[in-house]
Amino acid sequence: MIAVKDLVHQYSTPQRVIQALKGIDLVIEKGDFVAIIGHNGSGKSTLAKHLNALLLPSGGSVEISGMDTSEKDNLWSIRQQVGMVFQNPDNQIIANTVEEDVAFGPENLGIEPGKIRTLVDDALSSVGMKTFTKRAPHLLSGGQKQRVAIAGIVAMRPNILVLDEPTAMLDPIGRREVMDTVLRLNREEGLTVVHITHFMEEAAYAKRVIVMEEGIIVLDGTPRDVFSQVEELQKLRLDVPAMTELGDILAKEGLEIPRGVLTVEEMVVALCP
Amino acid sequence: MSIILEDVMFTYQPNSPYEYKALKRINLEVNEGDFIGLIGHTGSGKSTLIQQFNGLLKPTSGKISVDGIDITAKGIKLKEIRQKVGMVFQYPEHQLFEETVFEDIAFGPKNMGIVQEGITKRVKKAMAMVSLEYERYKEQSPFVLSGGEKRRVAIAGVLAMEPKYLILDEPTAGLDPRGRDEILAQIERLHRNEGITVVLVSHSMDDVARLAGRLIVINHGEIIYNDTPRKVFMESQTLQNIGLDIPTVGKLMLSLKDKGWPVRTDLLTIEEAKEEILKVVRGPVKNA
Repeated sequence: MIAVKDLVHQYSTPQRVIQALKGIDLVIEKGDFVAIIGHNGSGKSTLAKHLNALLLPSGGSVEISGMDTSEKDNLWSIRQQVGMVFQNPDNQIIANTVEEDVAFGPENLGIEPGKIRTLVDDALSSVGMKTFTKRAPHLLSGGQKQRVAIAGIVAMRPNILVLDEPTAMLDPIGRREVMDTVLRLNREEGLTVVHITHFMEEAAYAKRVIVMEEGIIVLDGTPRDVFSQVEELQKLRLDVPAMTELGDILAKEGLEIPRGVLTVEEMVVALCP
Repeated sequence: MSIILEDVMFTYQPNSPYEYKALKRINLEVNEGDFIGLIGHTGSGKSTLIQQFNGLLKPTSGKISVDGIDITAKGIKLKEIRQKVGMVFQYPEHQLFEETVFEDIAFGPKNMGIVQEGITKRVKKAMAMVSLEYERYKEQSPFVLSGGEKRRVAIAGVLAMEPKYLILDEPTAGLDPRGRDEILAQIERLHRNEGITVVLVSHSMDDVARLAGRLIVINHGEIIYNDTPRKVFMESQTLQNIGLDIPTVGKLMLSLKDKGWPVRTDLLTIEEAKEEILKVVRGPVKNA
């Protein structure tokens, strides 16, 4: 479980002090799938970095399974529990073969070599990259590289996976590969997922969507609840999924469309009951 | 005037074990005033193709001409061609390097040998075209700006050379929704108001459906469709087979048709979908 209490993050430039997070309260339960959306500069990535103690609170606290991130002694267990995947796969891959790359994390945790083999094999299977074990990572597609990066985290057997715009640099196939992988890890392996994204269609797959703006949480609920607030989101100049927007327009024309339709399938059901 | 590619082939590392045919017999015309969307999955040859347009890559065989000048001929001065055909690469903000926004945008025109007065005029105009306020930004370091602003500075650097053709390789990749909207609106304005010919490489079917007048689909180094977005997006099966997609609205219309609704399936925008659905729900409008 993640418990964030009145979290403040500030940093100073020569000119002024900037508050990137202004008192965030947030509890994320085990097994949840939370999408965080918001503009660049809204504080999403800063919040994510607090979840595995890459950043420490200027005020308030962050606890991961009861461990306070500002306690130095907790650092290694927190980093093992909360794995992070970033935007650019090329900055996260370090070894010459896929299996070596995935083994890097467990090796650093001091796990004995015999066990590492199993961890690496399991992790690569869980992201659908088992047949690429001996391949050179730099020759893979963007989506495949990102899945290797995720496997590198999974091999450390974390409870929580934090992804900071993992699909931003990928093409549509790559995006789908990564999303399918993350959804599977959440549903079948019970990993708690925090997924930061600019793609509303991806956020629609989450169980819960959090919208951030200027360092605070402005909306928090199921995708249906959040995306049904079309006007509020447009005021923040965020997108809504195409079908949600269409549903909103049709409802204004007097059609009976439930609020917060998210997908083509739901729209078809709404129109052809 | 136009960019014309005739039987263009391009092979990476020819006659080696790594030989790779990236373009296979491409025939294509980009006409003045066009807004072309170029789509294809990663590795289909899109980037190799656009680098032919201004001679950054020379074709292994075939001919390319820009406004009647054969750019594959020996002894051709490519400087002039590159001024005419402006290229905005992926993540262009990685190419910013000067200390101020002004200097960065001025770099291109300076290299063209334009004198100071002309440069200031061009920088001002280019900044206005991407909605960057001149007085506010000119002295700023490009590196302290937001992602969207940096990208606009990079695009202004290309516009300052006053290109006739503007080629953009995924100009919205990695931006947030507000940044995406801003960049696309500006590209649309450049085409509409300044008459710049645009070739837009994109992964977003919704964006090209909305913006492009013509859509070129490339797969394994070959052009498989070259038509209006409306016609191209009718080929949903083929597009999905080659790792592409159709706009969300098109998918909805196909599903409704499956359910027996008498709807057109070649619709591209939410506005069009709304009209079509209302037509079916409300029945035909009776003339009073």
